Amino acid sequence: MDDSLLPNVIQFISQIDPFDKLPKNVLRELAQVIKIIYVSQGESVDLTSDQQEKHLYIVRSGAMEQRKKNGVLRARLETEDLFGFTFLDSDVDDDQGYQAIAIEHCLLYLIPHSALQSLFNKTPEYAEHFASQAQVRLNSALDVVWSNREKGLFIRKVSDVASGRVAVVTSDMSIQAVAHEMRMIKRTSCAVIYENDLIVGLITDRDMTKRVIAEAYPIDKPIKDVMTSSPLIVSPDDLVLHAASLMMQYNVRNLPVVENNRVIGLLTTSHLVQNHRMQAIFLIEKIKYAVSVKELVLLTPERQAIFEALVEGKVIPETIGKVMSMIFDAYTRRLICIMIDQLGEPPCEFAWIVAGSHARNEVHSLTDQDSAIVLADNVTANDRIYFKHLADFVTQGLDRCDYPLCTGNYMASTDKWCQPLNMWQQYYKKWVANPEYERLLNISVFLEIRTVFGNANFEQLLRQSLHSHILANKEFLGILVKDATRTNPPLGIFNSLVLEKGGENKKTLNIKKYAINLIIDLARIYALAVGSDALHTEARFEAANKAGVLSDDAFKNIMGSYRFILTFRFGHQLAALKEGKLPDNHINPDTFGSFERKHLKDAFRIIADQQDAAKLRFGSH
Amino acid sequence: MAILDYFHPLSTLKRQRETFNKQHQIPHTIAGCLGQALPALDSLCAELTYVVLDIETTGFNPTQDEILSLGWVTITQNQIDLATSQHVYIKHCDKVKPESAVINHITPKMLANGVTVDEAMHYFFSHLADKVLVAHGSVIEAGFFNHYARKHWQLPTLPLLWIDTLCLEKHFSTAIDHYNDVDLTLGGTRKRYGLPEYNSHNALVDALAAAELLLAQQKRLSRGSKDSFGRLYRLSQRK
Repeated sequence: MDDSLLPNVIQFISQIDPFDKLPKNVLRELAQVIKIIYVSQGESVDLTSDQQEKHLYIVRSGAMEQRKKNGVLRARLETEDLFGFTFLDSDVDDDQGYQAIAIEHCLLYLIPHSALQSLFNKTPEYAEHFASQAQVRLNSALDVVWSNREKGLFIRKVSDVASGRVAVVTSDMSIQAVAHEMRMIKRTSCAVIYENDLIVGLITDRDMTKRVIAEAYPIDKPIKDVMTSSPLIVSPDDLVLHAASLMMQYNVRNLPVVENNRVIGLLTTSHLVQNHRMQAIFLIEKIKYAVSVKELVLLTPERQAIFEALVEGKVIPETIGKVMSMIFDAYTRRLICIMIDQLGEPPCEFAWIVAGSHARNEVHSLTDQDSAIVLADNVTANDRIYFKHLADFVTQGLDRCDYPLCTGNYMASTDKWCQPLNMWQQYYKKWVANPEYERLLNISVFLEIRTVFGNANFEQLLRQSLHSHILANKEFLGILVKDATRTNPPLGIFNSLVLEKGGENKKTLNIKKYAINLIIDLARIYALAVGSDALHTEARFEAANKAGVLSDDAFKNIMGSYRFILTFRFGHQLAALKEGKLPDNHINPDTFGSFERKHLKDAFRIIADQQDAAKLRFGSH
Repeated sequence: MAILDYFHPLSTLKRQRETFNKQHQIPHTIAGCLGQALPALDSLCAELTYVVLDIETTGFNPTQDEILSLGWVTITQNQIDLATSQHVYIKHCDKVKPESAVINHITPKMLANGVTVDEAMHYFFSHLADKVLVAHGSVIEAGFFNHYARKHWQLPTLPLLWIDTLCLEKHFSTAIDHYNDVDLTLGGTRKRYGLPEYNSHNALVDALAAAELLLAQQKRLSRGSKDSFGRLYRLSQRK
């Protein structure tokens, strides 16, 4: 064999760490035993099979993903990345149960383990390159869910991406004049509309088609007749991530960039998708066009990547919860539509309702399914079979997309939670009238409900009957308070132990049970007390504050605590994801810095104070 | 045999080959290759072994131009095995009789320094038993082989079993778009499949490039199910 043997193969591997540390003749030998395979998108490479010889894999082109058995993303691999090397490290045996899935068509080079082993036997010092590589790779692979370059985009500022081309007009200008300004003068798809030096509206070329041409609206009328009022805006210093979240949340494609009430640019979806990686952020669009559960399942890593980017971008927890809820909603709706396409139109009116944190728009990476179906009262026994199929398909489909099934079976697929409206109204009546333990649990799940699909009127009717029942039973709120304050936050953290009020010490802090849930419960009680329909925890405190039930100081304190604890938990979940662990709510105090320790202690104290206040105000004495 | 199977191009080739073997004295060099049984229509693509070949020549006309080098690599069970890769340079100054090529055993040193075209032919065909020949635009390779057979052995067109990745691609692309011209060159086709761009070119690199393309095309063809060789061969016929 001469030197020109497969120069492209040898040249490729010679630039990859750790192969770059091997002499040319060794590389040539290794190149001789390489096997090349092609895997198409969605296909997986089995790393655990005992039958075949094991290999070290090099991604030559395309992109792969490593996932643990439970679906948690372990790493994303691109050209020049390696996998299947864990065998080199005797301490690590958790390659078992890993799956490598192609997320693009991939060309992979396979080097048999046996070839590497015999190389190391001959020349042990080469093994060291690979051993350290294994360690480094294990650590670094974990945070390449998105590469830093891609992540960089998210934390860039709006001013870096937005264009300066935007038309600025006044609200009394004619539609035609505005269109002229947009097309002929500024050559832009969007105009920002001022009235008395204030931004009052926005018009896009899509709006022009929709609201003017399609409606045959006279073009000599003023633009304010057809503009979008009070448009969303961003500031040039906002993160691209924030802007993209807004676009997803409100389904808008244009955001004027405004500084001191002056329009300085325009950010459009096309600015973001010009770099194709940013399309990941339009996950919701992709969900809408998925036609099978299988296609939806493939989108899970993108969802996780968005969650991780949001947390790392230090986006406020409220927005993270909202964005993740919107994505959850999109999955749910899409699955319902896919099944309706298969089963035909539903035989009667219904509402698909979500409950718990999903209803509150507080979805995080651990959120499981809480759902229910409310059927029209004229539903027949036969119709119910239809909804049973629908509910099974949707809940199982969500499970496959990594929204775990609810362990308490609070799901539409449970007969009890797939009932006609009058049955649901009786449920609420019974729960409020007799809030014993079991019923209290049920009601705490279904106290928050939100329609994701179908007739939203059912949800309104249910909520109305809930409020009227609560008003009728004065004791109910007291019982709710008693239950909510049965659990107290820890007193503090001493010597790596979480000190609880009962004197018992625990090694880990269950942040959900001992902090977040307590705040959520308090918010619910305040909302019910002031008859607010708000679902989101922060909005509930706000309603209580506006109604004068919660003092300004107390409001500020509890909101601060809530945000701090949520951020703290998101950080904890992110760290777990990056280590390839299943995220949980148990936090080891050893990992706290003094900053966290101090702030946590303050937060606990504020929660305890609020619990006492609630007991005094609403408690049954 | 069903009547449709009788007219399948693979069945036609099988009959051609039987007649050819009966009517002619088959030289030792190609005896192993032409003596092999052709794959059954329903054999699975993944179960066959392929030799993917590329030749470098001084031009496209077999009667005037010369082969400069041959490169090939084997695909077994959907895996390209680089251990099987071969790269043979041909030197054209020496005149060696075909008989001597059969006797001479080719050594790595000879390959590096170049061998005679007879030695190269013998060496290549000795690798072909029970394998399917593949090339991108196999009409060139087949043309040079047929010319060689006519000149040295006075044989007509050799009934070789070819899979042509270019013809496969033509089938795929015309299935999508009848009107636009699609870039069917090896580089252009690979680009559409997201296969990496290779900067250096020689017979072996191009053979490897075509082998990778065949893997990608088979994946596209099968879309998850196991495909029969009969289907692959039919799609590989020139239109």
